[in-house]
Amino acid sequence: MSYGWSFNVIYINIPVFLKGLLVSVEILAASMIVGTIIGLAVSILLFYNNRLLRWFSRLYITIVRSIPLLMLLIWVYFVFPILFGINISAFATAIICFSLSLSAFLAESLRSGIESVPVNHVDSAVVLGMDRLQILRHIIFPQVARQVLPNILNHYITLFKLSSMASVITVNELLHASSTLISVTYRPLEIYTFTALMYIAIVLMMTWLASIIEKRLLMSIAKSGDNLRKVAWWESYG
Amino acid sequence: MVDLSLRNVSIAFGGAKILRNISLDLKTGEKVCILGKSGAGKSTLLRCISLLDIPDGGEMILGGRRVLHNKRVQDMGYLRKNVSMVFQDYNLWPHKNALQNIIEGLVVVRKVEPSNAAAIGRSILKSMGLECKENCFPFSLSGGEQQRVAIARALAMEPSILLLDEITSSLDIDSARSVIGIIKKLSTTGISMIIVTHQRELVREIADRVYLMANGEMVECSRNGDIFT
Repeated sequence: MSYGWSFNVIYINIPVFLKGLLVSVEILAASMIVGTIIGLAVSILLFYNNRLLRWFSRLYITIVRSIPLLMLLIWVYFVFPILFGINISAFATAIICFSLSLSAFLAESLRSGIESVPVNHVDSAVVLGMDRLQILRHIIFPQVARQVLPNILNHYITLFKLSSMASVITVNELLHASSTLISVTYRPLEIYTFTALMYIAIVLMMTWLASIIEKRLLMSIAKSGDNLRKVAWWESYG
Repeated sequence: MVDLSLRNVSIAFGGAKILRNISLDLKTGEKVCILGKSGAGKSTLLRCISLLDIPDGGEMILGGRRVLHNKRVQDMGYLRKNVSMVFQDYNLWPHKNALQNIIEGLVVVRKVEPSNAAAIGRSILKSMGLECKENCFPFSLSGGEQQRVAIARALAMEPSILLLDEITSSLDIDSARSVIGIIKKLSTTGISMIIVTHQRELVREIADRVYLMANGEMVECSRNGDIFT
């Protein structure tokens, strides 16, 4: 069976794709900022000297990680207004859900990073008189950053791909814009293929940016031990 | 004048008593060495004095102020201001170079201007013979150099009392000798020191008093020289 490809539909509707892409990027940017702040706060609470706060943050991570993102989107968008009488726009719902999901995974990554910092490093900071926040800021986080940065950047890239799920609650992001276009042009193959190519292009660009950031970070703040060797390896073979 | 007095300090981990009713006095400028087999509780005692581990019982008086009484820390700030510690494994921060390791406490805790702190750090590094190593990160320093940076970091805070926990045991003979040389030089400055060590040379040359620990107890205390006879 032969199919008559017609990419004219793509050229004509480029502004529609770009508008959808812009919404996807807005969701990504807002969720990255909110999710990172919440994730950072939750990871700090995991090590707080209060059992209740530690328990709360662990519970938060467990529950949010256990709920499928699609389920979370549907629940917040459709069930939340019925239960509590609060209507949230589809766009805001998407940002809330993606932020919550990102924060839980990010907190878990940060937790493993924080635990990887040898307790001896904390001992020497305590002896000098640093308080908990000073130790986190000056001793722990600079070391955690270089450990978990690749992981965090991966979460951001995954988040961009997951933003397509927002289409199920009618957010006019890239996939939703494409689907709407298909319903009026009847050219699904061209439109879905082009949409997939747009996702690939953005993910490749993010991956490239992530590798630059990682490299810069390794070169600037982590010129120590194995990391310097990693930089040397990267320079030689990368 | 910052004297230190421990009275009946005890600590247990998981039911195992590590320190049993330890009492110890350290007068200003005095150098006390603590000897004993591995597992005797020497390092734990230093960790208790620096309040890295909080004793289960006993009392600690520093410069006339009670800093610990029956598990309750009463003046942590005063203790941190006056007591510094150097660890067996150096515990340098790998993401900071030698100078940054030394001045971090001054800048972050004492709020000294970074440029002033750097000047202080450089002068201490110079006294340690490490003036050309200020930009080196810990991984590129030898064990002896790392330990000298760790000592410099502790000294930058101008403590009245310095706790040294087996600072030469991870070092080769030459590095250990250079670190011992620095401690000997330091001992003439009037700073009080409690030194946990297996180095007889160090004990003979600088200790005013020597304690022997076994099974978490002080089993012997003698003036320097008597312990080896």
